Amino acid sequence: MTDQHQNYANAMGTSGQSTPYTKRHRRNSSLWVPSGAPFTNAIRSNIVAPLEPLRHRFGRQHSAASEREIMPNWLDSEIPRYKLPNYHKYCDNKIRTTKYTFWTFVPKNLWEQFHRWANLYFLMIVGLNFIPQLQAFNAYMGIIPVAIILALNAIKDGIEDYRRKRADNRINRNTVHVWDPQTGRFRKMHWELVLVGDLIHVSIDETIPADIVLVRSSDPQGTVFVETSNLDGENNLKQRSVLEHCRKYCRTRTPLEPCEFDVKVFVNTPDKRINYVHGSMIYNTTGGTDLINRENVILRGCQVRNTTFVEGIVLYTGKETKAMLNNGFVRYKRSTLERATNKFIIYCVFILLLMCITGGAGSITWLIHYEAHDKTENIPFMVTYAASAVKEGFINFASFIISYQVLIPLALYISVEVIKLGQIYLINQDLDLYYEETDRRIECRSLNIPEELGQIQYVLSDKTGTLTENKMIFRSCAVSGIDYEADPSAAPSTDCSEQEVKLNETLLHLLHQLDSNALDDTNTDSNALFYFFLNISICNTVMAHRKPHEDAIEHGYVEDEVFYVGNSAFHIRSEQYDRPGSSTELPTPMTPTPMTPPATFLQPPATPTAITFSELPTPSTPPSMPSTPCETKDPPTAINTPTASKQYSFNASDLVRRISSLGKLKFLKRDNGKAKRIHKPKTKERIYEAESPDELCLVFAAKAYGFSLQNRCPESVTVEIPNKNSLSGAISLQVPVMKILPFDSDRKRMSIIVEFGDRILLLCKGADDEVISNLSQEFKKSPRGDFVIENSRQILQKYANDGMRTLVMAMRFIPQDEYETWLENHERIEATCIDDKDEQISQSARLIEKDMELLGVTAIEDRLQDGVAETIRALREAGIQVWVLTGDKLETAKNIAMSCQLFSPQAKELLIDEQSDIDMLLSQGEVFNALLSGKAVKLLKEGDRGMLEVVRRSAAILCYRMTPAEKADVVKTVKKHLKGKVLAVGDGANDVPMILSADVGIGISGQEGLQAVMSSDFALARFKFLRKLLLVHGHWCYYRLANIMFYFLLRNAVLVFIIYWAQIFNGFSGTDPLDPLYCMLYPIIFTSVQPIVYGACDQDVSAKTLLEEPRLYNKGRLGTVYKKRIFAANMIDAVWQSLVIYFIAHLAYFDTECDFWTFGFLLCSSLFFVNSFHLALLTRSWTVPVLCVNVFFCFFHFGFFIFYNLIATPGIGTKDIPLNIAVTAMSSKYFWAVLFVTVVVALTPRFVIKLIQNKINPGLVYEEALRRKSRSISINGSVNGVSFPCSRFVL
Amino acid sequence: MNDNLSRAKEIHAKNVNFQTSSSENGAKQKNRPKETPLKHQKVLGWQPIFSVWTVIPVVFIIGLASISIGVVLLLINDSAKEKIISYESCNNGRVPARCNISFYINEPFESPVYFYYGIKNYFQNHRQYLKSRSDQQLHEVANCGSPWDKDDNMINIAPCGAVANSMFNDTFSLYFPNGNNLVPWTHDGVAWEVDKNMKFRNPGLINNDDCRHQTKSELERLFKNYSHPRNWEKEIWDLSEEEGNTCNNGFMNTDFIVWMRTAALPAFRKPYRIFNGRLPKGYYRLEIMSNYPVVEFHGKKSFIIATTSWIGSHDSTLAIAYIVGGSICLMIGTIFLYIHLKFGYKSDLIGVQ
Repeated sequence: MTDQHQNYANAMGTSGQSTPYTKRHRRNSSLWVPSGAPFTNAIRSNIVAPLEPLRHRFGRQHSAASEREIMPNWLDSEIPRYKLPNYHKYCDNKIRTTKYTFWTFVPKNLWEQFHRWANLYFLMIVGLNFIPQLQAFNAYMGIIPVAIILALNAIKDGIEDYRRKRADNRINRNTVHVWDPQTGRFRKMHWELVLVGDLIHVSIDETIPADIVLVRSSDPQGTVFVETSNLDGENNLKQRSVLEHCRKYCRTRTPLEPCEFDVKVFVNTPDKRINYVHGSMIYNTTGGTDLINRENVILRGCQVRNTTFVEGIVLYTGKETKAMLNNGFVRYKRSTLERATNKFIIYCVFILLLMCITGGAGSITWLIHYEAHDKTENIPFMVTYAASAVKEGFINFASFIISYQVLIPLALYISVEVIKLGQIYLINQDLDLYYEETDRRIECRSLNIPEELGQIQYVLSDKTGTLTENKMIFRSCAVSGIDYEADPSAAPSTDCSEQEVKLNETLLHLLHQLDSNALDDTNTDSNALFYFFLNISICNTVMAHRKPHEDAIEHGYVEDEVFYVGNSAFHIRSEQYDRPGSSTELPTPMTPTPMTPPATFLQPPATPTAITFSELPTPSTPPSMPSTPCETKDPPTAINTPTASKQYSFNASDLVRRISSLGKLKFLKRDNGKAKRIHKPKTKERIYEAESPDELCLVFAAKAYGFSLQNRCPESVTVEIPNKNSLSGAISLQVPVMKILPFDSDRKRMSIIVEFGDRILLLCKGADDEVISNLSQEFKKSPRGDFVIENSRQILQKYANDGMRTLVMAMRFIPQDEYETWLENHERIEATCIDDKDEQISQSARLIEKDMELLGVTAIEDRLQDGVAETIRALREAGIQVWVLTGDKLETAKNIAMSCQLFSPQAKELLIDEQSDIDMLLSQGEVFNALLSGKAVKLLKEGDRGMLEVVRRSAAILCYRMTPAEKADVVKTVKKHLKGKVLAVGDGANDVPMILSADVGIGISGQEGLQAVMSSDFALARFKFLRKLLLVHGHWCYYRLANIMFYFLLRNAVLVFIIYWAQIFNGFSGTDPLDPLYCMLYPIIFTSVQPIVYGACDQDVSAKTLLEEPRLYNKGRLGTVYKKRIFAANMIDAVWQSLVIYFIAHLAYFDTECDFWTFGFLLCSSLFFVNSFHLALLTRSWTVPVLCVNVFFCFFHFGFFIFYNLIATPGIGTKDIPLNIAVTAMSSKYFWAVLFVTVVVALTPRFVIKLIQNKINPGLVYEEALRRKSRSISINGSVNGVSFPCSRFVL
Repeated sequence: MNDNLSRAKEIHAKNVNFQTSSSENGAKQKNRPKETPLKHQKVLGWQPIFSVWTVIPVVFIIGLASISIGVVLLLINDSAKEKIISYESCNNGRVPARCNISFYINEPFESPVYFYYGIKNYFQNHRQYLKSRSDQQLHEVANCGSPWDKDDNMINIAPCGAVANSMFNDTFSLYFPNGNNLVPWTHDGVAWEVDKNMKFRNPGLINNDDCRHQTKSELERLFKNYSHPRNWEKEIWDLSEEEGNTCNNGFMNTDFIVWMRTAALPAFRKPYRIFNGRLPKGYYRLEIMSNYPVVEFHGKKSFIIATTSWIGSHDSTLAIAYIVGGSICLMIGTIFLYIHLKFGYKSDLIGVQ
């Protein structure tokens, strides 16, 4: 065993190879963790990196050069990685979305917190405390509340940051294979350790860890398919290619030998432009230079698709990658309640100023009245600071600010945030929002807008995938104007398990009678059938594989007679096989991948007789065509081992036998058998990969009818077609592809141009109007064509009425010369680099997609999700206007609207397209459903009055043919012109703009990617969950938060007003009669947990009632709780409560021996109990935990005072230390009598008014609760909950 | 028809699927929230419903109860007797002066009898005044940093601050009706024990020494480096005449401690002495040494003789509060009854539907 291996084994954490196999396979343990420079690393990541922004701001840019030079990391095996030039010159690949690191947390967090004006205000108050003249008590004590708040906020920020760090770590700890020059092979490494200049190997479906330039791929042509949805949201596959000079390495015969691959790369410095990379690669050994442009580069975050593996050189890492540079988008949504609160707080500031000014004025008057400054000596209780009464008044004014500061609720913000966290937590825990099938809960991505859910006025929904399943089911098709509707009772064909296809027996029979001989004759129905299905099966971008792409890099390797896989090592005697070089990968029986010896893979599996056209037994067959070497596109896995430089004469089963002979390998055998079962070769089964579910559905449908797509490569497509002459009933047909005109939303169709025999065939598939308008005149005029078109139109209409998605298939034989001229022009456009290239290509495609013949029509059903109709009905009953925005065409959209009960059959449907429609509409008085076209939406966007009126009056609205941008426009318009709260629901990338611009964005985590979910505030698994989310959770959250925020404001106001009334009786001197320590902790400790519990869990009505009576949602929708009027009422109540608390105590203790702190203790207790019982009156649902919390704090209140009076010393700064005050006071009956009467009198008005309100004008919710209660009385004759002593009498 | 059929099938299929999947995937459902009532917001709660009809009887009961409590309180208060003797007009308010006031007690005062002095219009709760003291000094003779902490010769004052400086210094002697016998009242129990033991400690008593062992001369020696407050005429060690026992002297003087316990409101009374015996009815003579000026701030001084009931001192405020509160309750109850009769049937009809 070599030293190298020893190192490696150590790195793996194995204790040698004495008992390696008893350890479980831990793949991570085979990680390559290069020895770093720990100290410098720590400095780099903890101190230098956080200061980076500063350095950018103040220092000079650290690389002024416009180009970066990248030396390969893989050449020299001696230099440790941390000494590589690339390590020092460029940042590492670690991403850091956290705001703080361990070291910078405290200073940076404080710095940020003091950016908030509220905190600055409190800091100012703390500062005032240090002026001796103003100070009411120990100045240091004033710091306590601010410190607590700052600490709580810091903890919250810390937790959030920790979550971010964990997410970062998850990404940073992803692994990728990086070339290790020491061991001479690719080894797994954490993303964060990847450096610029590394040679990395990425397997299929893996994500690219950094921006790389391609040097090798599994595809012999050097093409690579990537999905860029993480980057730009487009989920079609994009093609990238390996550098010109490197393409030779893509062939398996000349593999890339990294130690001989001496290159130097120059690229531009990192910038934000996603589509721009410019650089060059210089080959030192072979000579030559390649230009690097965007076609050769894959960016971080992309995923490799349909390509077994790619290898590339890292250009940009970490935060210098394009993805991270473009990732500055952080959204902060502010809720309406929060904005209203800010307004209320401004009123509070006014009240505060008013109180301070009147207090100051009172102070001056009082001093003048006593002529205090003239005869200080004779007034024993007069201590003055200033020479005149007015100056004294100003000092008192300032000290009032300190006394009344709490009117601006410092703790409100943090309390509300805690409440929201609690609400979110409970929403997250809801079992009703959990979807079993996908094992998904609701995902709350925004933490600060739960109450917005209770105020939604408009729900704007996408259709596909949101209302529907987005599982496409092929329903029926019509060929040549003859409808072959699938028998609904027929069982779905069983051979394709993933897709449900309903078959039509007649059609199936017809197809099996199909004779491939008469293919050139296009005018018959049977041939139309053939072309129709050919179209379905090949005119798409579906990839077919015999087996999943699999990269063999993880299959273990042999080194020095030891076979390693995972972290297990096995001894093999060397003479049994040719010793491979130091770097090998080969398939082994260890992994659940192909187990059979590699040799078998080299033989293609048995397929139906492969034929080319030349072999068709028809007299008119074209001359034989060269068949493209398409098979190599999908080569056996084993060959694809990236650096398998040699084929070994040793085979795996041999190895297993030999290892087994060591007598240790029971589990290996078991694995072996299992793997074999999985990989039993199935010749007919193909794995299809498609971009859209529609395409997949069509391919499966074609397959069910016998037209099975076998293989697709850039040059040709292989289809199995039914043939009655063939023995197996099918023959394989290889069609060379000449051109693919991909789908774009402008043309709304795609085409494929193939060589079909000696003719050039264009097969086109697309939206009905786009295709039918491009039919050839000849075809239209011919009687057959006329019949076909006419019938097809009717059938289309019928399909659309059934809510199906329709597609029209057409074909055209293109004359050779026309094709050539067109192709020349088209390729010229493709080669150019102009801005409107896509548009030009689209235009060019239109030129060839004309004069077509109609083949047939397909209908795909996208089933409605369960519960959609009920949900929409409930939302509408709740008064929410539901809009559906769809990209579908009118008929389909209308049909869906009917079936999901968006449109009620009673109301008229009115189509609005133009100005005139509106005028006509407005003259009518009835209820109607409006269908808006793109034009109408434009009118709406401009704020057309008539249009707005129409929208206001309509019962339901459906917008059809919407583009993503138009959807977003609708959202913005509704927000702006209708002044409503908008919730947008969508599932796909096309809904992202809409979701982002809405007040609340909801993503449905369904079939189509994750973009919608990533940009949403809440992600649901099903549309129907919206019902409970809005009607129950939204209602609750709004109701709780609105009430509790008023409570917070009132609580603080009562406290401050008590101090204000006390001023009248202490010469407006700013004395705080309440205990200063208690007073400061009061909002933070004594009355914080109870309202937080209330805010998180109170229920004004049960979830069941809310679901059954959606109209109760109006409470939040109309914003009935959080209003200025009610704020004013609360402030008046605060005045009353404070008057009662102060004056009852005042009268009770006037002219008695009561001392200052006993009086203060009574005030504190009254305040506490009035506030607590106030909250108790608000509490609509008394549960055991709520009760416990409230009772606990009552005891805590007294406990605090008793304890505090025990330990009080002169050091705490309270003058006349309150020793034993509480116990003495509590032992007097008088105290309790006063306390009791205070609480009762203080809360009477609120209680009485509430009662009268309940009687005369009960709120919606209360009325419902009452009704339910009385119903349960009439049913049971008894009452649950509050007793209704005379209820039977009433009834 | 077809739709119904297919839908029925789907539902069936789903049910079958669901059953199998739930049994199979039981372990796989990692994200499934735990079904606890607390997390699921399904804790059984009591939802109080306040309706006028429920509340009317309650309101009436509370109202009647309050009124009766108030009446009882009033009756009890009658058992607590109080005699207030105002004397700010003694010598037309000029100080110092000696006054003799005779008064008649028509009912005997039962033991124990409390004596207070009361001052009105005196703002002991004024912020600057309140702060002008040093509890530190009273505890362990430190220097303090407030106004009035040094005399003209820049010698530190003990006790310092405005509160101590303004100590009430009128003295009273009460004589029984038959002859010139002094009422033998005591200052024991006037100040709180905790104040004597923890808040106010003479120097040299820091380690909980017994004050009885400290002599006056020792006290004098300890206070030597301090000056007395400006307004005082006595030295701090002269507050009590007792020679051998300093438990009522210096900082631990009862009158001083009582004064230093600041009052909450601008009208207050402070305990002066306690007489653990019975005051029979008859003419009494009160001898007052009036030293404390109150005319400048329109203050009023009085001497109060009182006994207590079980609820506390003689005070009808609380009783009145209860009676008023009870009456309000009755009034509200009546209003509710009216409302109920007027609107009741309407809203109850809602309930019946």
